[in-house]
Amino acid sequence: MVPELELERIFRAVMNLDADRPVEGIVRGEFPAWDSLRHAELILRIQDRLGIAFRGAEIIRIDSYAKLRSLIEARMSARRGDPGDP
Amino acid sequence: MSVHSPLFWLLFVPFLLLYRHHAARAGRGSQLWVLGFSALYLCFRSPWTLAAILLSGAAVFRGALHIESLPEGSTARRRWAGALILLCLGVLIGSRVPSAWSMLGASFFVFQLIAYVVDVAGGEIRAERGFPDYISSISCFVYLTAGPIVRLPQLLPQLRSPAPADYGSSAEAVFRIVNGLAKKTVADLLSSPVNGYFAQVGAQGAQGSFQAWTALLALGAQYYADFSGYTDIALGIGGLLGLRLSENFRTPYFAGSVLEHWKRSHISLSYWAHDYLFIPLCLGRWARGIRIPAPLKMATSLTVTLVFIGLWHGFGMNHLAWGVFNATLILMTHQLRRLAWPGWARSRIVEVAVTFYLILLGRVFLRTSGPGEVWATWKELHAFRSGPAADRGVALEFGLVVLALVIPHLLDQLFLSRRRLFQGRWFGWAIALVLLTFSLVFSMPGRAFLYEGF
Repeated sequence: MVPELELERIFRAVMNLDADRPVEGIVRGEFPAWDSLRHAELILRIQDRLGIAFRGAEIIRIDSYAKLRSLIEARMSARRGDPGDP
Repeated sequence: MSVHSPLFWLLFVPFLLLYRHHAARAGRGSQLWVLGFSALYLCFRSPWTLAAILLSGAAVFRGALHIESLPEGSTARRRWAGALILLCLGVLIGSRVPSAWSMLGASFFVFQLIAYVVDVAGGEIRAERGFPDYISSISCFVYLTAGPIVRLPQLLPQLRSPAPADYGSSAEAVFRIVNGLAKKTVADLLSSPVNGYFAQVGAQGAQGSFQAWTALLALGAQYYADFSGYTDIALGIGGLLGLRLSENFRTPYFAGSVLEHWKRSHISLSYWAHDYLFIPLCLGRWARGIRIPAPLKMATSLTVTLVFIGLWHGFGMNHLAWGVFNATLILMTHQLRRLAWPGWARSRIVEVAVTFYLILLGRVFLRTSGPGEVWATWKELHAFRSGPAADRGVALEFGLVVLALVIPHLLDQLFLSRRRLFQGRWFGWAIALVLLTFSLVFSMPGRAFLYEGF
């Protein structure tokens, strides 16, 4: 399971979002605050806090909060399935 | 034989008719037709570039196939990719050696090759099996002179199977070409106020703030008209051939921040630098091993990326400083927006005006030859004093420069937002006629594009 609250907390902090703004429907192309610097900052924080690394092409393809969440979900499932995965 | 020369069109029009006739009937082999015309174009313009494309292209072609045969994620794969990237960079650096050989637009095919190597090594795309198809993409004459930078997976399928010609898309392509020619004419006309002012920067005696602003606005207009003008011609030629590629400019002077400006100006280079330089530097495998605070990592990666883009414009301290200047502005904006309280009402007009002012200040780096000249120009701009030549002629020149800045932007905004108007409607043809007349009356033949040969 994704550490949902932690991911949402990181996302809100990076994007400077109000607490009452729902994050699930946020799409990068429609949300001007999500520029390339904030995108990089978001990935860096996820790497640091959740210990999840992405490949370059994956980073470029993340274009919505939902996609980010499902990518992390997939990565954590893979990690649980293979305990030897660094 | 540049794309705005009569010789080019004398050769291109018969080629286009044959190409369209062949592609429509046979439906295959169109990429070989483009390859043939590209070879002819390069023989006229720069045989060295043709040789460099064939040699480096062949090396990368074989290397990519070898990389694909190696296990994914292996060290050997990364080493081979690294070696091929070094080879590509060697070609790029070699092309910049003054008067050694005259190469044309090396960066535009080198960047395409680097992207291809990285994507194959990362398992994102499969290595190309057919050398003629592959080399037709690398050498495509449409984009070789001054971009935009295209990527193989984007271009190759279209070369193999170009979009059918129809009235609307052909009319749009013709409008783009005419618009590009008109912009090129505007850019050439603007060289007089730009060269006149910057030739005397740092010399004895101030020229006056009004003259400085006129020259700086003319410089901004000249850059946009020249570079986006070339892109318009390239995309128009591509459109006639059935190749539909993404825009390279989206009215950059209407941007509300420096970062947004970079996403609207020379878009293909910005995205290339973002994908293949900034992301690996900031978030790549090796970057993860470096234990420095995240903001510092981001700032360093961004600065290196923009310095690279600066050096792409020319090897000099001013180009390097221009990269640092832009990185500093972007990082400052990033921090300021973080500090802004939620719900803070921002004025788009103010943001656009401030961004335009900062971008113009940055352009001074690219037009002067040392920190002293940059400082002298900045000082003159903000001294608010009249120069010795303050008369009606100067005011008229200022007005014309403003028009040269505003009209192409407004027309491009209209084109991007109401494209249908230019797809064979009377309005589009009327504008095209006006632009063509303007080009024929005022064109200055023989002048190269500013970004030719980059």
